[in-house]
Amino acid sequence: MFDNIRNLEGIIESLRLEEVMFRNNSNYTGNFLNADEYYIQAWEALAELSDEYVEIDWTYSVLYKFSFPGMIKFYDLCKEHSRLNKINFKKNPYVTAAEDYVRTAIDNAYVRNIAWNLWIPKKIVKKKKYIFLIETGCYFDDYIDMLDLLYEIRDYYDAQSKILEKELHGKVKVIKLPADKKETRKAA
Amino acid sequence: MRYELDLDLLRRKLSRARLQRENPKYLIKQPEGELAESLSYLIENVLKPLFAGEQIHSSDLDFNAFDGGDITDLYDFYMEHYYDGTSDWQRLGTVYNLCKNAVPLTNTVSFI
Repeated sequence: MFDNIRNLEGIIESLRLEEVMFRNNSNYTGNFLNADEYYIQAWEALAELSDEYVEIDWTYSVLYKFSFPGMIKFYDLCKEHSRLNKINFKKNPYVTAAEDYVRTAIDNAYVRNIAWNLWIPKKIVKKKKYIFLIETGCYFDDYIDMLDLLYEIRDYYDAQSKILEKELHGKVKVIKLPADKKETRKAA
Repeated sequence: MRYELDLDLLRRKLSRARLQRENPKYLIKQPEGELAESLSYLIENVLKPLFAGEQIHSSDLDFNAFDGGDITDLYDFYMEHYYDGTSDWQRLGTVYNLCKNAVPLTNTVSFI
């Protein structure tokens, strides 16, 4: 009766983190619910999901760089789709829909104190291989919602890649055989 | 830190105590209606073990049995039905926990 659970808010956050991880990461093995350390676990999961992160000392912000495999594949397919349909790459409906999706997902997510940029590459070059950038400010602490958002974006690109691939390569290719040569009679 | 409990003082203070409300919150309210299956699952597998002081490993939970919204509902459920943040209740809780965790001492008692 008197035993209020110490730091239940922290345990609830820890449970939320575990729920996000189990739902999105098939290799995740779990953890003890921990009100004091969930914060570190969430940060580690975020860092692991990113391709690279840079801590900026003078602003206490962190720049996370992402290039999910599905993203790279998606933009490669968009390039092919644009070429085949003779559409400007940046005006390709798949490219614009993806940008809109990311913007809406970020707007709807409960993540504050961040800045982001979706760099839409026409060509993946080594120097600029990161497609999606997020900078978290010094007061940022919505790590669990951020993880959920990133998994959502990753899944979107995976799903769209499959759709686009089916559209581009899924059709049965009809190989046109050369037409039979018409018999022509030589004039005697 | 060593604590000494003056049972006589405690008895006198308790006898003078007045409940602040007619329906004190610590009488745990029974939820109205039937709970959702997903929330019941969380109460059984998260809240009750926590009350018992047990640690919970997430791999022991069935994450198909509930979703993120149920976790928020669990917190609301706890706050509504179990938590009492009033200072009197907190102080009484401190005394209760001190008594519960106190190491018993033996003493000579004279019987008539």
